[in-house]
Amino acid sequence: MNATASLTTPTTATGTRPGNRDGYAIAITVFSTVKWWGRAALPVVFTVPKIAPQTISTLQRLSFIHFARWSLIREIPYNGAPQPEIKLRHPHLYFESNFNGGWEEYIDAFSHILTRGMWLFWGSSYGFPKALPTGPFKAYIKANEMEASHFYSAYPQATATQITRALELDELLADLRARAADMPPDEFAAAFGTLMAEAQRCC
Amino acid sequence: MLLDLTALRDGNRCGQASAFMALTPIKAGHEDLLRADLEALGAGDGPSPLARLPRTHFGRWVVCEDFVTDPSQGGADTMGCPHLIFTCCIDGDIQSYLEELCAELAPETRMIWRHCINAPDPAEGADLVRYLRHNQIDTGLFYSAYPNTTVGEVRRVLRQQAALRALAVDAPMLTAEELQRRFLAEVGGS
Amino acid sequence: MTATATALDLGDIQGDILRAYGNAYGRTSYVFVTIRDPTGGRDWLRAIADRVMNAAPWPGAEKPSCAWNVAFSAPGLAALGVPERVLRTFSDEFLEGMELRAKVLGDTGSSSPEQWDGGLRHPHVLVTLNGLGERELEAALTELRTEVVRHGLEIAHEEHAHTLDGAREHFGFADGFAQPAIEGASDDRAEGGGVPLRAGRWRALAPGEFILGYPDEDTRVDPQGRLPSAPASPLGRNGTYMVWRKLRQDVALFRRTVAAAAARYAGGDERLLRAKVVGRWEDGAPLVSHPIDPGTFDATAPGANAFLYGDDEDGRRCPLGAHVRRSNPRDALGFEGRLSFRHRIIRRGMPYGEPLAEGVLEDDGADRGLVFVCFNASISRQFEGIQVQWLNDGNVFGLGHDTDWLLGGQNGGSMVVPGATGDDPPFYLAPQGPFVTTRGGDYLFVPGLTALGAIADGVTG
Repeated sequence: MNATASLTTPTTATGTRPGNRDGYAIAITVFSTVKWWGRAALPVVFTVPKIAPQTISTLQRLSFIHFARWSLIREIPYNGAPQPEIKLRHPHLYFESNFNGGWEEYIDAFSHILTRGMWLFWGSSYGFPKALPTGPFKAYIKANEMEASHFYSAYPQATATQITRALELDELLADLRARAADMPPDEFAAAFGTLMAEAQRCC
Repeated sequence: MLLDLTALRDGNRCGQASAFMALTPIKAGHEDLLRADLEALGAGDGPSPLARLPRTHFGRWVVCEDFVTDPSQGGADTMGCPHLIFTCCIDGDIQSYLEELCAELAPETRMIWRHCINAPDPAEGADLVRYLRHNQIDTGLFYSAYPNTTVGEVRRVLRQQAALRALAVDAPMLTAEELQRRFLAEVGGS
Repeated sequence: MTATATALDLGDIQGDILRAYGNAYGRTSYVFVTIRDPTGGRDWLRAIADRVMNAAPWPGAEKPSCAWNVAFSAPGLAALGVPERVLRTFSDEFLEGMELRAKVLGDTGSSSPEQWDGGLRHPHVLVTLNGLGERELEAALTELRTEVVRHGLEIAHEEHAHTLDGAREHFGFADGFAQPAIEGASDDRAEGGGVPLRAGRWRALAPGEFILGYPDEDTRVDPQGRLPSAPASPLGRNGTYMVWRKLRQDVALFRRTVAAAAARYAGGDERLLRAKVVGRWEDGAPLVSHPIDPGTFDATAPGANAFLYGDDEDGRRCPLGAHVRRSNPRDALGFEGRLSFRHRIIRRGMPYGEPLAEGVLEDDGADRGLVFVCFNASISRQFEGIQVQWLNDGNVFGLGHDTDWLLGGQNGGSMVVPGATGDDPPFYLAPQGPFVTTRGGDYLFVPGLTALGAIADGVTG
């Protein structure tokens, strides 16, 4: 065994802690404290269709993410004693992502591609260092990230890209599937060739 | 007065999918016990209990010690005590999902939420649904890459894609009859 | 000059990083030395230190007969007495070493560490000798072996590599075209080797992507101009991280597999199918610019390497899964190359073993392959990013979990070769081999010469 290895913290292949993984799926869970103006600005970002869609469509193109969410926590639900009753001084932003690919690539992509989008969502958070350069941004996420104690994906071997491609394929395939049983073999083989030419990027 | 824009739209939904989040307070000194119980779920490569709820795309439990404090924010803003975060991305509506969770997964929900302050004892069934609803955090923005596809559909199209790929690899070696027969058997007619 | 331009201290940087000796030096020996005690080890280092070649230009046509270079694994640095608090300032993946990262890298099954050459597990120090010819190399080897014995150290492994005719690797392809262009060192190679900009322009990469202690691409966009993370001074300046891997190639299996597949492909055009697998023709002509035949390709002509994948999005000319497209995707991931430009490496490899005679389809049992060497400032972001996210998994290219077909690996994976036009159906290559297995290797640190002196004198901090 390599003696110097004991000097490091264990991470997985993808640069994340083991609890945040299920197959190819990775969990990110982050809190950040929001400045006073974020209390009003973030709900606008969340709701007004003209503000976030560019970010959302870029997320779609990046195709790393299955599901993601942002929530603004303004108060802590109270359940009676002995839970301390708390009045928050700031709102807090909760972010989680269910994605695939390496942690490092994911954050890189956020920094370089969604530079403006990142500011929309986290610009009102204390300590947000801007998306670029990536070094301080990664350090910020690492510092604020929590490890899941249990993380589940219903299809841990699948990536978001595979799923969207499989859905495209399903549409392309519908017609041949409906007709296949009734076609003469040669006609079927020709139709299969045509379908594959059309469907190659999804298969 | 500021208009509460989030009220105009249900942030917990994206297409047919819903996002649920509960933030429940952990009893004093129970964080490590809770972590151990959570890590034991599906330990040894066994299936996660969430696999028994076929509407679940993703789910997670996170033990959160407290909010983060940035040096620039001028003093810590505390949760008061450590909290358990439970979130899931699911098909359909939240209420019926929670009912399934608290019934089908009762052995696990009892083990998990027994560590939380004023959770029902035993932590299961309608009482637990009410407790989770009380501690629900609404989502501001929920994103899905395939918002109108259920778990079952995701699995079906993935199987179909793999079957077609395998057939395409073999295709040059097959006669037209064999190709058609295998297509119908492995990819499926409708 | 740009804001990040900083003159590289060529006199202090080891010579094998920025300069490809292979162009002039046909023989390379990699000698792994085990340190037995710190004092003997440091005495030995001091004895050979003045042999170690820096990167300063050679005056006139005068070339040294043999160039020496040195690199250390983390256990090697520890064995030489570098204190733990200094070691902690190195990167995590370097401290863990290649063997512990085997699963991450896909070195499993027949490539797993239990199968590696014994002397390549837990190496301490790597001495690389580049000889102008066999005689010069033998003289240096004799000297090295004598010094090792004299200081009570041991040689754990020797790997002797040499260029093959026509600068080919064993599968028959010309190799080593796509080197990154580095600001202050190889700006002239920016076209094709740097970062593509708009309107057909390119720029060289910041030196800190490859040499520690200099501005990197992150520094370029940082108003505070912070430098990337590096080991504590004096080790963190003018050094870099090195990846060394011995990759065995099963040439007969590769030939048989491609020949059998070609019988069903495009009228049996085996040469074209081989090019589709690699993304370049055997002489190096890129498929993107030479889709029908290699023509007369001159790798040294200006712009010969300056191609992009943007107008071949579907891979009609060069398949999305072609080896060179996966290992250096340029703009193939979209977003104007912003998802790939921080994952570049300086590649220095050399074949080992005798070539399998042309036309032979049965394995002769001989060990042959490639000694893969690369240099980068961050092994996890650069080398491992390429290996794990691009070569071992196809997802970012929309290829599911297909591994690089040329390399194969435990996941196997088929490869799709798109038809040349919209109406042509794709051709699928069945999972193969593997053609390539890992025989051993490690992550190493290549210190600058000042830092090397500090290690030899035991004054690293």
